[in-house]
Amino acid sequence: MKITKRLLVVLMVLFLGVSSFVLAQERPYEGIRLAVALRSLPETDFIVSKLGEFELMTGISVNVVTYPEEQLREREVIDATTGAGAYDVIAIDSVFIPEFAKAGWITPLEPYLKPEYEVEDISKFARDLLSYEGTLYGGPVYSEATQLMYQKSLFEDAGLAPPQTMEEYEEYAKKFTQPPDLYGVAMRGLRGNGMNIYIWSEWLWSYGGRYFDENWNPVFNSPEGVLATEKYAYLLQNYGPPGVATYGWDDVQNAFTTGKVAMIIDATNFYTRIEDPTKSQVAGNVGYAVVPEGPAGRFPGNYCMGFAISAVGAKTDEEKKAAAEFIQWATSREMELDKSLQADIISVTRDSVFNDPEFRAKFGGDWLESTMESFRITNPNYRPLIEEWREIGDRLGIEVENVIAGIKPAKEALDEAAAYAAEVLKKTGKIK
Amino acid sequence: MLVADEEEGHCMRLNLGESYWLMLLPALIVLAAITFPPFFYSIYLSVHDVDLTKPYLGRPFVGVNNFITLFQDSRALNSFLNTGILVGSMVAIEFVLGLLIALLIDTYFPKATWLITLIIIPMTFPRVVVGLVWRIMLNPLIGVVNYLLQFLGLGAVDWLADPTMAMVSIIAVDVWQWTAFIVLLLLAGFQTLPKEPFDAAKVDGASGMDVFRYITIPLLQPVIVVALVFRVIDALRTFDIVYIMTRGGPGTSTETVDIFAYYIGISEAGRISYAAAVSLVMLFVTIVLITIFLRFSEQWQEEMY
Repeated sequence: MKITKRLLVVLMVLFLGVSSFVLAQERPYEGIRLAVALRSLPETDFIVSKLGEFELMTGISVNVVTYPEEQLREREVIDATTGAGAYDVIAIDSVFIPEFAKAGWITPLEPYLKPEYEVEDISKFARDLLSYEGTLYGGPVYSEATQLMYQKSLFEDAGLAPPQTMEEYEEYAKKFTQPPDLYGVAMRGLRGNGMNIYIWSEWLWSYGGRYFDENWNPVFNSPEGVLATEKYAYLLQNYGPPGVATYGWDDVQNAFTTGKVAMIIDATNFYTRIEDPTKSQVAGNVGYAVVPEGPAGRFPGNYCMGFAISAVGAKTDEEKKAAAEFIQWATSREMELDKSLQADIISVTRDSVFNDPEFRAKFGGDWLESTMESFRITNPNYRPLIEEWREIGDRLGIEVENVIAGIKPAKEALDEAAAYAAEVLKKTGKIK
Repeated sequence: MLVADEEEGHCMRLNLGESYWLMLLPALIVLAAITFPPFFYSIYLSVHDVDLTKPYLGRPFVGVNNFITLFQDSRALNSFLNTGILVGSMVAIEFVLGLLIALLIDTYFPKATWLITLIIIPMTFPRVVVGLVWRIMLNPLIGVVNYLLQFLGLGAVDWLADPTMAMVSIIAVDVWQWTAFIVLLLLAGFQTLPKEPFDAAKVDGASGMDVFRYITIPLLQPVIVVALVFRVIDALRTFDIVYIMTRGGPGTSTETVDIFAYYIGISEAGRISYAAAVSLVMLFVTIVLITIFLRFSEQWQEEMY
């Protein structure tokens, strides 16, 4: 009896000691607290719902702070400029990576990457979007390109294939426009570097224009740029629904789901909403294709949202490591596959998920083909990856809206935006 | 009260003596603590060149450069013009409508409190909600307003994407929401009016119009001044409705000073110094406007009596 009792005690002590040793081994970040600033999206909601697993695994306790889309960036800017450092990890739009990296507000993620993160698996354009001067700063939570979406039945009835060129796009837009029941196209008219400029840039590139020359002089007001802007405005003014000059992405989506619009060019992730029979009258009737080709080629747009380590919040080495740990967990291959298969999220950022048989079985067809092709050919500098982008893009957005609303001619509007851009670039020293 | 009554002020000083200031002190301290630091900081900002998102450019002293830029910047001047148009038309329409409604209620339904409840319902909605709801209702494709217009055989209107109509829509929505404020204040004013002058006028055989012009309006003048000052100050800060409904667009055709300062200072750029300069000019304009207005109404009152 005595011996068994003693043995039992010894065994228990041993077991406790060993297990706490094992726990200590597996939870190297015990006691670290991370604050994550993000905006609520199906993608981030899903990640947040799995947080318990991460906390159990690592010992890190994560506090999520959610902001509405438009406030998130402001909060982060204010947090960084005041030096408050309330967040260790921030969700950030790809177009602001250069701005934040240049200001020293985010820490490179690259040195912290573990081999099992398989960074090469992340779509090339998404990696480029989240990098600054060749260094990766963020792990992608969400990525999209722009593509053409159209009502299949309309095209079948008319015996047409989806438009391959800008001319065909315009021709079909004209053909389908029968107000007030049907409009040829709907695209973003509302001002903003991520609104009208996100779609308008495709016209700029397609018609042979570009943003800057080799010396950073703004050249989007070139004859090509003016033509592109006139074409974009003409399409919306003549074949777009009334009010399209102030359409944001949500308005484009709403208009398309009512069945009153034949074709739209917008984000690949519209799929979820426009194929939902409870929210969309065109569900099951949507065709997907790569954006039409202009005289200078095909230029699908791109966007990505990532998690980055805040240099202002995560100051100590330990905090940085823990933040990197969180980002790699939240943007891992497993997480992405789970997101897609369990929550039908299709804003995929990894090639292996696109090629996953289960994923293909669920989301295959022309959407997948068109999305993969758009991801492959999209230019990371579709919207220039420079720290001055926000200011220049937003100003340009106002002027493009002016053209669409018929307030100013294209040349005058673009000249004004170019002059403003030159001023900004002079201030930062890009233009000597 | 904004218009000080000589006698009343005298009485207060007599009764309270030294404690007059003592009792005001806590409120003054709190007021000073929350208004002075930001005010002086914005003056500091306005004479430097601080760019929030470009900390590497430093904070050079630039004197009055930001103010000079403002007077050369067509977008900034446009925003002041827009604010003027918005505030002018909103307050004018609200006042005339409010006065008419208040007169109607006071004359024909003085006991109908339910009517007042009904009228102030729009005022109780948060402005963001008002903006969102109207934005949807004014949507040319799916909104109810154009649906009704077409139902009546009238053409569809591009409410928020046409420069002029966008301005008209914003004014209309503000009038819809804030006319009730004028109605409420004026109704309260009507109820405090003494009866005797009206009875005397009746005996003297004055017409309804004369009574209104020579008795109601002069007696109501202090209330009118308060109502107008409140509405003007409030309207000068119009932000939510415009931001939600048009974002200042199309183009910059409905961009007010507040929206412009917000865009340039924190939203589309980080030019916080320039935004501070714009806000200071706006503050200056507001103070000048209100001072002139109060002087004018004091004079007016003296002439009346």
